Amino acid sequence: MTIAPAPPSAPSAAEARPPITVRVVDRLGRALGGNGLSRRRFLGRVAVVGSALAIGPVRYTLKPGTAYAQVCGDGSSCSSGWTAFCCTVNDGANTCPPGSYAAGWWRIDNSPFCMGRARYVIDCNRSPSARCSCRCADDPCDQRRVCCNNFRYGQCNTQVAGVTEVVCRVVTCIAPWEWDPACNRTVRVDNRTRSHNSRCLPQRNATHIDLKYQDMGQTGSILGRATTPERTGTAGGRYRRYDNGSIFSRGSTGALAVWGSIDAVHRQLGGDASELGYPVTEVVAVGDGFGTSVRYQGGTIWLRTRSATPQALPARFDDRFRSAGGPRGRLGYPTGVQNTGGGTIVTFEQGAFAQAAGSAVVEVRTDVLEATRRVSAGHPDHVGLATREEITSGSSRLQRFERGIVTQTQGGTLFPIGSDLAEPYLAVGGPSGAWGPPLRAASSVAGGRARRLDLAQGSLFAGATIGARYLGGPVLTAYDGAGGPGGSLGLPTSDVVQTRAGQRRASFEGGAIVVDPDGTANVLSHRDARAAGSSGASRPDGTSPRTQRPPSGTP
Amino acid sequence: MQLHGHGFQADLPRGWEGTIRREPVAEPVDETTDAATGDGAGEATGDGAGEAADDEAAPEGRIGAAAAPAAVTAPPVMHLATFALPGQRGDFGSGAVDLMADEDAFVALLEYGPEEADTPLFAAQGLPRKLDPRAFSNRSLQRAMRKQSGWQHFFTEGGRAFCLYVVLGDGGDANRQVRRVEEVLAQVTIEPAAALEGSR
Repeated sequence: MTIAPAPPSAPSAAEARPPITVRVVDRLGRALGGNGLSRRRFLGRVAVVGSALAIGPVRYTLKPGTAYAQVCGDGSSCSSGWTAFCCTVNDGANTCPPGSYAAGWWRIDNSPFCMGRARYVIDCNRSPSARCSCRCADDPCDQRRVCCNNFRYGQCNTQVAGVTEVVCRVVTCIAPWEWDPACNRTVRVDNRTRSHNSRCLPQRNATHIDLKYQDMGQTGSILGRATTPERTGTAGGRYRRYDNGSIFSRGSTGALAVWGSIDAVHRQLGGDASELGYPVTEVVAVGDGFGTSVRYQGGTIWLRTRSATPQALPARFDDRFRSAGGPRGRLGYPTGVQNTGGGTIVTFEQGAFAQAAGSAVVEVRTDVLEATRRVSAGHPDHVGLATREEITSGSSRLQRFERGIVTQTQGGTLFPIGSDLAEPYLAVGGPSGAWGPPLRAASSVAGGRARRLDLAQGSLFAGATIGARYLGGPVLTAYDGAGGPGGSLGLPTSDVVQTRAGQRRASFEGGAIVVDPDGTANVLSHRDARAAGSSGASRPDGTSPRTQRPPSGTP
Repeated sequence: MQLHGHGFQADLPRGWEGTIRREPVAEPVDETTDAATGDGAGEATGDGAGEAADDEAAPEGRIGAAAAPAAVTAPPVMHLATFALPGQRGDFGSGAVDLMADEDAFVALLEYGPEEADTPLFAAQGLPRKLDPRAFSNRSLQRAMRKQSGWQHFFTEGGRAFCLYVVLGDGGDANRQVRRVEEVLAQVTIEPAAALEGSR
């Protein structure tokens, strides 16, 4: 199916007539344009008219004055004697240009440009070693003076002696001493400058994001230039993207800026719509001189160094990480987050957190993690994700995983044991039980039909046809003496049992071993075993043989 | 007429009026906050006719009652002028200097935090009593205005940091106007910080 464009229809009279604001802008733009103006300058003037209407349509329409006066305020001409705003002359950057420094500030109360709060104007004066010449700003709206007024407010950088020309003025809605710690808190007020503004600064309809960007320095900030308009995000929040970051705004936190690779990772994960949600902090230092982090509604993104890859920790991991001391604790920084088989594993410089499907988050120590990684996927000892915290069982460490355990030998070597062996082993107490700790990792026996785990007090065999069988003592010694699983006896089909006669017996695929009370071990082949049964004795596994029936049809 | 408060004293010659004021330190939170309208708040005034001057500066209760960051400081500002000072004016005289006639002069003596005393910017010692007319310039103004000329000087006196800012209505007549400013500066005394501490 294709969708064809609707045929054009003649516009109605109402539709043909543009809205009044458009007509006013057009008319005033034409009037302002005059003859001989370049298209760029003409469009610039029209834009100012549009801004003036957007900012104060009634005031602009009814009160005398130019559109520029509405946008840039009183005394915006060069001859008015005031100094231009930095963003006007500094490529949009609301920062002190090179060769200037913050030299003082004043406050404007109840500013409409700061949502009714105080607005601060910070003078950037020429650095004593720099040069500049007095001129008018090359802007049709903010034409104020640049580097002309040799004047100083005197609350910033008082280690710099003397008075030099004011190059330009920075505007903030945050206190100057927060903007630059080199400024002190001596308040000077000049409400007569209340209307002063520039096209490159937020207007009266500014949003929290606009003001945040302004206070960071606009294009002179770490964010760079805006790449999107301000947009509505999830749950009524707002955001705007920039070359090197984002600003998010929510009622509960105000506007927060996040930049660099942390913001890039947040974007890749889906931004505010991701599990992380909105930031609740800005980029904050970890405190070790290297790392930074941003905390979000649903977790934290951690960055060890500038060149490292940021790691996003969902809250269920992050909360645990923070309670363990965060990056300065025993774990160090997160180094990776991997989703695997319905679970997640977060690795740190020293250790890991794992969460298997349906399980809680548990910590895995580095050596345990390495032990699991020595076994490839598909191997019977590939145990998956940890499901319980590590415990000490006897003198051995033990941790349960999805498909087995990791424990250590008496010598301390850690290795995983798959469920086939781990479950029966744990059933009798694991390393602290009667069978004792393992001697070595499990091995494949009988041509791969079973696996064997040698333990301090015996050996555990597991296979599809035999289940789990444990042999120990003289029976095991005799078994191994007879060739073990690779010998004629094959695999054990019973555990060692004690008969009423005091014998210890175990049966095998190819026979049995009977150890008399005096310690004499007898290895019996099938035939021997059958003979032993025919003598009326119990079977090697301790069961009584059935009475033989005559062959059918035998008379 | 005498003007005093916040460690300033001035016997104003005839033809001068002056005020000493401190801005409320609170940052306003909305447009309805009364304390937010700083200009004129806490002002003591006197005129040159020799009437008794109100020597009380900003009501301390009002300042103290404002929910302001404790560390914000609003040291006093003394304005002296040969013309009627408007109620709303900036600390460096914006709004007032607009009203100056050619023969008028405006003097602002602004105090800074005591921690600034003797820093490089405030390294000069003592309130200058003699001024050099040649130091005045139409470039040395907060806001360049036709015919006006200005001069600014940061200094420390008695352990207190100050800025003296003088505007002449007609820079072309600086010699005569400077003498007039010197007359009023000769009547200004600044109490040392130690004395102020003792009186608190």
